[in-house]
This record gives sequence, structure tokens and C-alpha cells, in this order.
Amino acid sequence: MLTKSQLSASRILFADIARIYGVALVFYGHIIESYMKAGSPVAAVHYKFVYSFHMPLFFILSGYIAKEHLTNIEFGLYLKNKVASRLVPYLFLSILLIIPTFWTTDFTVGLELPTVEGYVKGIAVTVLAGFPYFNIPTWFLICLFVVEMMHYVTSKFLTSNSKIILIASGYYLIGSVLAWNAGFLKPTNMLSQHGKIFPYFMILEAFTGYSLYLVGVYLHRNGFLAGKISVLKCFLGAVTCLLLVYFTYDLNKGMFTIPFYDAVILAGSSHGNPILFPLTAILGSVLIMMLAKLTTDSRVLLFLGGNTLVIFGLNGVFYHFINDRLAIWLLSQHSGNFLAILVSGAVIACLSIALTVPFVLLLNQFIPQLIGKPKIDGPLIPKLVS
Amino acid sequence: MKKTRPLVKTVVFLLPAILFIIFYNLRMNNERYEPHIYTLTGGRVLVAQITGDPEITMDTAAITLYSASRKLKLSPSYMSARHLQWNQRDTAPLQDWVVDYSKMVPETATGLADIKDTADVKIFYERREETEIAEILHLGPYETIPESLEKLRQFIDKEGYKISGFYEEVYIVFEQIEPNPYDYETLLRYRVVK
Repeated sequence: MLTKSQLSASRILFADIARIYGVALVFYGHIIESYMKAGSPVAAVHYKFVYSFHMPLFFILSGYIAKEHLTNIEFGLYLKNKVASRLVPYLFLSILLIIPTFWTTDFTVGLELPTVEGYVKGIAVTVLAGFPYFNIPTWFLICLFVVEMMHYVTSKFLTSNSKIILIASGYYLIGSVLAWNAGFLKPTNMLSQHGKIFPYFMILEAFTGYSLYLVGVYLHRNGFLAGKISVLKCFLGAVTCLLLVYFTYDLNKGMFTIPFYDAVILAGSSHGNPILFPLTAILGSVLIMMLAKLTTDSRVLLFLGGNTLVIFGLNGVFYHFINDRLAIWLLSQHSGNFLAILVSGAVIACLSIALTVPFVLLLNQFIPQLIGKPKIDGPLIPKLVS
Repeated sequence: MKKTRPLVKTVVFLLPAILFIIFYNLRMNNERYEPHIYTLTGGRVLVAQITGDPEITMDTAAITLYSASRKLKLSPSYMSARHLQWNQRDTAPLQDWVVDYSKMVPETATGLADIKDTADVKIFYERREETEIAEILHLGPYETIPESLEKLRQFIDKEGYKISGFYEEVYIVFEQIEPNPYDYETLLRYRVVK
């Protein structure tokens, strides 16, 4: 029989591993996106499958490990903590990715670099609009920050399961209405040639993000995957979820606000069908959580899982500077069939993650405060929060 | 006094940001109607190729692409009309104009289900590679498009580019969603080379 503290420790471990699986899907999804942009219809199918749940997973996991009640924490302290652990890494990871743009003109998102005009626009969008132009994958950090502010306001009302469901539904409804009007509100319009800058700070998506976050809160509150679970039960649960995701992800069609990406793209508020989207998203997230529960013994995964924020952020290097060129070259080398795309995508994702490890170690050693560990003191920067 | 300090600090911090956003957005609004040259990203399109006077064929294309999209469960997107030869306007009689009406589709769109060509409309998928284009946003009725095209051609000359290949119109605000022709917004594009 596990003690309470062992139970809680085991929950954190599996959540860490689920996070690194999610990050691996981010790396895989981004190389697959490049394959898709290079014209591979097979990659587009993989893309749609992965994107149907991989970002919702992060919101659900964040809710799963969050404190359910925050009434005893002073808002100023909570805000300081979140600024230090979300916004500081957001800015640091953006600044980090500005550096390579000084000598490459092949930046993938439409900024004319290196030009003064391009930097002004990129920095203004990053700082004033909360959209990470230089490191697109880190949009999640801004969105999570807003979600956590919503959680501070809402947490005192989360006193029962039915209230959590009701509040999550309310947020989801508002999020869906906002997402459905993304064509009008144009949250990503600032990326276009003459796009205007509005201080959105991912607020449009934060409503949907928070509803998913509350799914995590609900799962945690009800002890989902807590404690010891039989391997067979977990495995069967994962297989069931996989089959359900497989049979539902492609039903979501024809309602996306980004028409040339027939897939859920939270960063662009493109969800598609408002019923099928959360269904597949939750099933896929549960699938990854169950897989993580089955593999909590791996030390490598635990190390990577404890550093997901920085690994996630470093994906920007591959996303902006490497993947597109690599995918075009690879498509000219192999047949582009299902297996070739799957294997090459998986190998590139794993290799990319492995390449981030030395940087993870280095950043952890010298400036952990800038990569989401603000409570560590020194060696170069004092602790940001106590 | 102490309580007002954070407020003053916040205002002092935010004011330059607000002023920057206002200034930047006003500038972008003015530049929106100016011609510019950039690289148009590639992608997959569903094409309805029709021969004839665009005054008539445009409606046919809109209906065809709309019903095809419903049948194939494609998400809504803008319709564009591409003339494969930019000078078709001057070299061919109106009834012989060949126009590729199209809308962007995902790479997953491959089959056409039971959609077949008709006597007037040829329907197919096409993958378009990234292309350098000169573009201008035309505001107003279609009759005044030649004026904007003239402005665009002068800009292309000034920048040292040459028109080569297609001419394209992208209907952003059009008759089905806006009754007032003076509020129509149409992107006009020429493929250009240095």
C-alpha cells in the first residue's frame, strides 16, 4: 500500500513522463508539418492525427498537477511566480532564437530578416501582442500564463465535480464562440504582410485552454491514474483510447478556420467541430497519460520530463531553421509513403530531442532561472522568487 | 501617495506601448493599399477551370466550388481567379478567356468523390509552388480594377521587376457577403521575375 506522499510523488512522475511524450509529439508534429508543406498528403494525415490531441494534452496535464484551490495564496505572489516561470522563459527563448536570424535569411514565418523593419515587427508582436514571432512553439507559455490567471480567479468556485464540469463547459462555450469568430477577430493576422498588432496575449485560446485545464483538475480530483494500477488495465485502456482517437480524429472536417491545414491548430484558434474536437482531444490525452503511467520507471524519460519547458522551447530552432529544408531534401530521397514518413519523422524527432540535451544541461547549470526554475539561486543569476 | 505610485508606474510603462501600437497600426492601415512584392507560399488548390466571359463564369465558379466544398467537407476559404497568361485581357476575346477559379485546400484533399467535369467546367486539384508576386489590394467595384492594375504595373517597373506568367484576383470581400460594391476588397496579383 502506498503512502499519501508516495502517491503524490508517483502522480508527478507519470505527469512528467506524459509531458515528454507530448513534447516528442510536438517535435514529430513539426517535422511532419514541414513534410506536409513540401506537398506530402501522407504527412498531412499524420499531422491531423497528432494535432487532434497533442496540445490539449499539455493543458490537461497542467490542470492535473495544478493546485485546486488558491485562496490561501496572495495574488501578488502567485503572479510573480507565474511571471518568473512562464513569461521569463517565454522572453528568454524568443531572444535566444533571434540570434540565428542575424546570419540566416531563411526564417520560416514571413518576417523579412535581417532588417530593422522585420525586427521591430517581430519584437513588437512578441512583447506587445504576446505571440512569439521568433519562436512560435512557445505560444503555449503565454496561453498557459493567461489560463493560470483564469484559474486564480475561478479556483474558489471549484468545490465539487459538478461545479468543475459546469465551469469548464462555460469556459469551453466562450472559447468556442471566440474560436468560431477567429476569421473575424483574426488573432494571427499580425503575422501577415500588413497585419495590425493587437494585445491578444492568446486570450482567445485561453478560454478553451482553461476548459481543458479543468479537465485535468477534474481527473486529478477524482484520483484518475493515481496510485498503483494494473499494467493490463492500463494497457487495455491505452489501446481503447488509441482506437477511439483513430476512428474519430478524421471525422472533424470542414469547419476549420485555417482551411489549408485540415487539422486542430490551437495557436490559430482553429478547432473545427466543437463536439468532435474536445472528444478526440481528451481521448488522445488520456491515451498519452496511460502510456506514461506504464513507463514511469525510465530514468531517461524522467530526466527529459523534468526539463520539458526548455526542450519544448528549443524546438523552435528546428521549427524555424531546419525542418523545412530537411523535409524537402528527405522527400526527394524517399518514397514519401506511410512508413517512410512515420519512421523518418520519429527518428528526426528523437534526434532533435537528443540534440537539445547538452543545451538543457548547460542552461540548467548556469541560468536555470530563465528556463522555468525561478526558485534556484545562482550561479549567475539570483533566484527570481522565493 | 504610496498607493498611486504603482498606478503611475503602470501608466508610464504602458503609455509608450499603447502609442507604439496606435502608430504602427495606422501605418499598416495606410500601407495596406500600397503595392508590394513578396513570395507567395505554395499549397494545394481545388480548381474549376472555365472558359468564357468572367462576368458570367465567376458565378458558375462560385457555385461549383461551394457545392464541391460541401460535398468534400472542405473548410471555407477565399476564391481566387487565375489567368494563366497575365495579358489574356489584351490578347484574347472575352469569350475565349480561360480562368482557373480556385480555393485553397489541405494536402489531405485528394479525391473528388463523384464530382465530374461538365461541358463548361473542368475540375481538378493542383499543387502550386511558392512564387514571387507583386500584389495590390483593390478597394471598390470590379470595373475600377484596371486603375489599380496600372498602379501595380508602375510599381513593378519602378522596382526593376518584370511580369511573367499569371495574373490573379483573390476575392476577399465580394458580392455574396457585401451589397455595396464600393466596399469590395480584391487582391490583384502578377507573377514577377527580376
